[in-house]
Amino acid sequence: MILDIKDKNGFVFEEIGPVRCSIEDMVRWAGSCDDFTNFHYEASAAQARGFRAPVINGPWKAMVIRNLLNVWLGSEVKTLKFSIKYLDTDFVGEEMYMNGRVIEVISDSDDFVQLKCEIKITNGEQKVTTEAHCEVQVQAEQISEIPMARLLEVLEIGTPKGPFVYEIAKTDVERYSRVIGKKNPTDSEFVPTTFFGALDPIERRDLCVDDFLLELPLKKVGGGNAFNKVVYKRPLKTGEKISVTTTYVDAYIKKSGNRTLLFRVRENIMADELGIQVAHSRNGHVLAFALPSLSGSEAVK
Amino acid sequence: MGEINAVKGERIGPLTMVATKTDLVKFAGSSQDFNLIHYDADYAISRGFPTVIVHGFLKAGYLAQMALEWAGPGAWFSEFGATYRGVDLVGQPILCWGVVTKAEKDRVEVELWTENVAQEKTTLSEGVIQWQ
Repeated sequence: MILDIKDKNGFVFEEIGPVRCSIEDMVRWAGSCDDFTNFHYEASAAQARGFRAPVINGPWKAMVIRNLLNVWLGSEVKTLKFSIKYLDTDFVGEEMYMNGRVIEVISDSDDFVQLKCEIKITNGEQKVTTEAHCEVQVQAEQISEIPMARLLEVLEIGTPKGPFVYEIAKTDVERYSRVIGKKNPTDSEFVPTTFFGALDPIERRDLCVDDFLLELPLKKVGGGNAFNKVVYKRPLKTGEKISVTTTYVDAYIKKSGNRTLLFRVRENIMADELGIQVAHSRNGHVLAFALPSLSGSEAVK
Repeated sequence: MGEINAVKGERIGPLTMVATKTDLVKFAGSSQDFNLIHYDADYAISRGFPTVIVHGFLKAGYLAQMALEWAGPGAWFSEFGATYRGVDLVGQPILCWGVVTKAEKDRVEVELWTENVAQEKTTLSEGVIQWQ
């Protein structure tokens, strides 16, 4: 999430709750931080200390609050200062509600906003048990451009990935053949022309490098395959094991009407079990965005 | 080797295909392309489509298969390419066409395309057919 939080003094985050901490949470916490103080996870030990139930660790609540900043402000929020006061005890199994608000916009630039936030945990009786203050740095506004630098970094253009080895299963080929309208799906050992797409680690999602594009706070207006081209040395056959190496070779943006089209182009080398190249394909995926600005055609390679 | 009697300008098709949602799921399963835009309408809408859309590779598959059925036994594409110019929606007719652009002794070059109900070309394809 990337917020447009400019002039948001007093902005109130969405309340989260009721949240109930479990014994398992406490045991996991004890295990992860080597704090085995037993009144945090053992009812009898808690009662012996005068508590009605196991007591939630203060640092656990601090961790929850810091994670909440990511929920409210996005995964790229950077915490600059953090302080917390434990005003009362919270107990395992009992209700907690998390509330937060912006109490000051400290600074505001084109890229980042620095905020002071206040976060409170209240119990089921609406009593504040925990109060935290923090200063955070947040990406300033909704992005208006595709983050090409990040994309190029994850695509690693020119770097082969794989090989991914796929066996061409007879049942897959027969099903595939039926769907594309082959009259006699079992009459040939040759696989359908377009089956090279079924041997593509990107299409199969065995290789996922640019999923973040779909999470960008930009309006999506379509996309999918843009083009595919294959050159075969010979037909592929059912039962073969094919090794596929994928290399991203290009990424670029084009404008089409009011849509901004982001292309990612990859090439696949397919080889048989002897290591002999049997096919080479070039494939383009496109994502279409409606961006608030950006004109012309910008090649980025 | 199959017999080649094709001449330049010879028409291939037309063939009308209608991809049902079941077809799209079957295609997803056999091609391992489980992108939600092909079978989850809510997700497809969130991505800017009116509903689920037909896989580009499925449309290309229609075209290639139509041409191979036309070419006869032993035919295979040594080269094949497709460019997707528009989306086709589940349940809507897809008209497949082709034409021979070059005919030689042992190879034929073809152009193929799909049209939607508005007669817009949504897939442009070309390839080289040879005979085993």
